[in-house]
Amino acid sequence: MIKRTLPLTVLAAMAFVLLAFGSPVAANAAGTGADVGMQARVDAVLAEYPGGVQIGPNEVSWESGGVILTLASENGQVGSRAVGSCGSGSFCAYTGYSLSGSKLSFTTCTTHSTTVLGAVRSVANARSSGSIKAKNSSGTVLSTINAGSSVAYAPSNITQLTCGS
Amino acid sequence: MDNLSDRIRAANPEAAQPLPERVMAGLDDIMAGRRVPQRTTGSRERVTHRRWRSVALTGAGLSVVATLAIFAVVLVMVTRPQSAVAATPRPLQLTETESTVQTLREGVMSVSTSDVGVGSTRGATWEGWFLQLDADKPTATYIQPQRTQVEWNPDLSGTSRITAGAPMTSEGTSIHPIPTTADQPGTTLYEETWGPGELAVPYPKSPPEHAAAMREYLNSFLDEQGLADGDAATAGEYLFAVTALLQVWTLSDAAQRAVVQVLLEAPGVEVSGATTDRAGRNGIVLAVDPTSVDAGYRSQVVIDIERWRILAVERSTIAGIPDFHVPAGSITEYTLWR
Repeated sequence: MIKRTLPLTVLAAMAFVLLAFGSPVAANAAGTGADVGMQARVDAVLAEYPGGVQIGPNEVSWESGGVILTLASENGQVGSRAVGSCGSGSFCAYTGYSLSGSKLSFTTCTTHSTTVLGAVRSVANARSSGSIKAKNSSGTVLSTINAGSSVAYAPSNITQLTCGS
Repeated sequence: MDNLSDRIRAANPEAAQPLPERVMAGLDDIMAGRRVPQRTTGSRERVTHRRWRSVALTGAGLSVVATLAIFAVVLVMVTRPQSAVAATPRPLQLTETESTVQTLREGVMSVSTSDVGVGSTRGATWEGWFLQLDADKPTATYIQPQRTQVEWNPDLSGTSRITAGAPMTSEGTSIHPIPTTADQPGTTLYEETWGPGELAVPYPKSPPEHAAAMREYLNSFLDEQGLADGDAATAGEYLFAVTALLQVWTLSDAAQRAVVQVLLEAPGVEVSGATTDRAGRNGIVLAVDPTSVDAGYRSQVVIDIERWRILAVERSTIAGIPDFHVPAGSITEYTLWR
């Protein structure tokens, strides 16, 4: 969620970054060369706009996650692919099996509650790397969903999705 | 150009103006990976201050970049949470009915259970519309239903496909031309195939065709999922189990009757009225009390009391979803079984 209290100059700068550095889609940093190129671009962003934290191979966060920049791959192609209707770079919870039904999607790599959606029946992870853990209200891991995959028939008592370890 | 740039341009009253060459060159360099970190031999702090000053000047100035930046802020970041209310389908129109839960119970129990028809079959097809809570996409201004087909086999292999339906207004009127952000009707939105043993379907065994056995069958699901004490399940909990079942099996007429009977005999259900569902079929609407299984939502079931089968299930948010501009009471999804 983008905070509304960001100073105008910061917002303007962030908008310029977004304009200049590509769309909010994830990149597939497959291969050493691509990794190096992507990291160089991440470094450029961090140098130009300090205060950010790299939270993924192609992602930088400012304002404690209030602003997320996800760099596209160098050739402009979207490296990570959408999984069903779960957009590239996102992870999603669905009320129906097989990625059907209502959807709640996230892009920030942290723990998110899914309770606003009600019961969850399937989960997709369309991020380029890293797994998503589906947990119940006690924090017990019910499913682990690797990057680029999904769980079509998930346990029904999922209440949160955790990105990262 | 990427989507964001397109959206920025779309919000800019001077959208026809091209970006300055300097910006385009920088953009091209970055997109092509030609731009490198600009660290210098000076201290990082000094470099940082210089660059922030440059950014501030850019933001405060009257250059096109600053204009685009402000529009980007306004459009993408700041105004998005204040955008229009999400488009959701209108609620079903209800009319009075003489039916009560008691008369419906008597009706479904009066049907002969000795008839022999086609048994339940693996797989299911359903249509519907389902709210998409996507922070990265603008609030939808139209309804786009989808159709889901699931097929699976005794060896737990199978396929699933979701295709896009035709966009419509909240009132159900077709939209022409199709909105640019909508999927073309018939587009495959998702398709997946599973090999033997890969599908963990929740109801691998055939559904029973009598109410008592169906109740046990559904109780087992609720127990396995840790959702309810099967001996004291409410209509809402049974409905949750039933909607899961109807995504896996196409029920026989007898199994449909058994499901309807289980719902009618559980606590927490009442008759709301009669309606014509979104597929134009007449039915009786049952209001099911909310449960902790699906907290925050209210459900309605449309049943055909000629054939005693479930026609549709609709779900609405009780308190609304303010972060996504969904008002209280809005329909958040409906599902039709043909």
